[in-house]
Amino acid sequence: MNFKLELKYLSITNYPSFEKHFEKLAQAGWLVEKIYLGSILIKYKKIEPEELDFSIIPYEMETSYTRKTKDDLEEFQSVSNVFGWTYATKTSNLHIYYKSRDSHVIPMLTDQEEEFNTLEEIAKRNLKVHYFVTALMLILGLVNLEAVFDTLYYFRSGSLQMLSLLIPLSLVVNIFQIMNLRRFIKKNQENLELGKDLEFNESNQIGFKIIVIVLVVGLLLAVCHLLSLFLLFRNRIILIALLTPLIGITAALGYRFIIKPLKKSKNFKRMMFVLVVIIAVILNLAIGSQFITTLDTDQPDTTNLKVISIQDFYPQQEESVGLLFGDISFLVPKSYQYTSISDRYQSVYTEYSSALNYKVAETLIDLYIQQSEKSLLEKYGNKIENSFARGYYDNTLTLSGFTMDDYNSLEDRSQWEAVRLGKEMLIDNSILKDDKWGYDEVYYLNAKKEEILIRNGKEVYYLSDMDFEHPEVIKIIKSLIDVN
Amino acid sequence: MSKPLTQPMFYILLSLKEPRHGYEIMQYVDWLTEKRVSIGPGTLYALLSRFEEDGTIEMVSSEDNKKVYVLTSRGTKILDDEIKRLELMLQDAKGENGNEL
Repeated sequence: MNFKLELKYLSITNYPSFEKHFEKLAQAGWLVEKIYLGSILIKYKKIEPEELDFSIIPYEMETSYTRKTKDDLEEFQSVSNVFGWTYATKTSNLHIYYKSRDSHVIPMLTDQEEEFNTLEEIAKRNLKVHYFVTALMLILGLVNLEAVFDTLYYFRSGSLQMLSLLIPLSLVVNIFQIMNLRRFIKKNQENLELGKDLEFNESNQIGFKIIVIVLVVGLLLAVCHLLSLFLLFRNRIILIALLTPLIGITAALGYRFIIKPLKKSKNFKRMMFVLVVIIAVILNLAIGSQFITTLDTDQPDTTNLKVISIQDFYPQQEESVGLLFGDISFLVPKSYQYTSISDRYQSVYTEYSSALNYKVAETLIDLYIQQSEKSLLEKYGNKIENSFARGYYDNTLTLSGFTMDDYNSLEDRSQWEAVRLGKEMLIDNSILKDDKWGYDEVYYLNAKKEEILIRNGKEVYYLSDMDFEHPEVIKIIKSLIDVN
Repeated sequence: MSKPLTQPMFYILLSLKEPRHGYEIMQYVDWLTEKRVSIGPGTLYALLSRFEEDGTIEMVSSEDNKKVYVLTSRGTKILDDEIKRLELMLQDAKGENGNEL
């Protein structure tokens, strides 16, 4: 093969070690040709083994408001060429030159203080980016953490599970980079003050390689996940999830490659930056709201999905809206939720989960029950407390599962104990196991029997908004579940 | 008064009292200092980039891919301040009566 690839991170804190590395490889017949993915994937081309000297120069390709064009670089390269240096390639801020070891020419860099000034400018700009990303990851992490505590949602959500991996890793990488850059600047400021040479890092890069591989795999998985959700479930909401970063990236690239290189004042470029941000936000809102308004008329194809529709129970009613959201995760490889609404505004709801194994399916059942208990207490807990505080039964509790008889049976107890026992009765009367259905596990989740939870092997169904004790309803549900 | 200039900064600004392009700057500094001071292309172009960004110099023409720069009024002031600073340092070195200590 005439080329080879190498995974190595070239940065402003370690580039002198790369000069030696490139020199060694040139002796072995490989010349650095191109650097991809920022500065982590290096491509070499085959050459005749040669003794070369390399010089890596920190040179700011772009700042917040400017960006060098090809023409700007060509002059630099041609003048360097006149003085005996040949341009090899570059990363965003590091340019790589080489010369024959035999030739004695002026070095590319002749002043350490100036070299450090450029490095410091680049480091400070990189730090701003890392601070921003760290803050963003912290916010996302907190939101993710909150969602993780809703463990039922976490089990079924592929995005959450991936974010749980990617966010901490990104945080670690960014915090490490911040510490590294700050230490680098401080150390070399001191060195220059004391008349010493600049100091650089010489790491073996193993930790970096592991993190990069995990991050790249994670990002690829995340993109595949979103695309497969769209293809499998035609979730147009997924398009919005993909569209937002796409619009943002396009706006950023437009600013970077069109506005920045212009020979205009900083004020003009600041104005253009603000304008680009406003346009991106407006586009996102406009396209997003357009998608959302068309969701109401969206009729997903549920032919091969195990969902109930309003027409299963009321054939004379037409389904006016069907809202389908699906997900794929490690623990629940397939799940979806479907709301079917008729033209007379009646609705039925299905949540289907196909778990990874029986253990996960059983855990899902426990989580659904926990969620129902929490929901019942949130809905009726205060009313029970008030009933005992005021000394009379709250009639709005009639269909809750905590009856007048239950209240009367606790009247003699202390208020605290009565409330505690009352809440237990509420749960015991609402969440009832039922063995009549003939499936592995079946639970009614409220006293009106309008919510039901069914486990059939590794499949878990949560259904609501119907009378699930009615024989006809039971028949229809069984026909749905028993389909292979 | 502006921050002290490093040696390459000083000589580049000095050379841009007249319009010059990159190669001419390196040659001029070589000639002026009788090769005592050499500015490498990496150092030169990094500084030209920074000076242009902060308005110390401006590009006056661009022909055959050679950009010609000259000092702006800001750059002229920075250079004048630096020369004054160096003169004062030299005065200090020579003592109050102008004699070397």
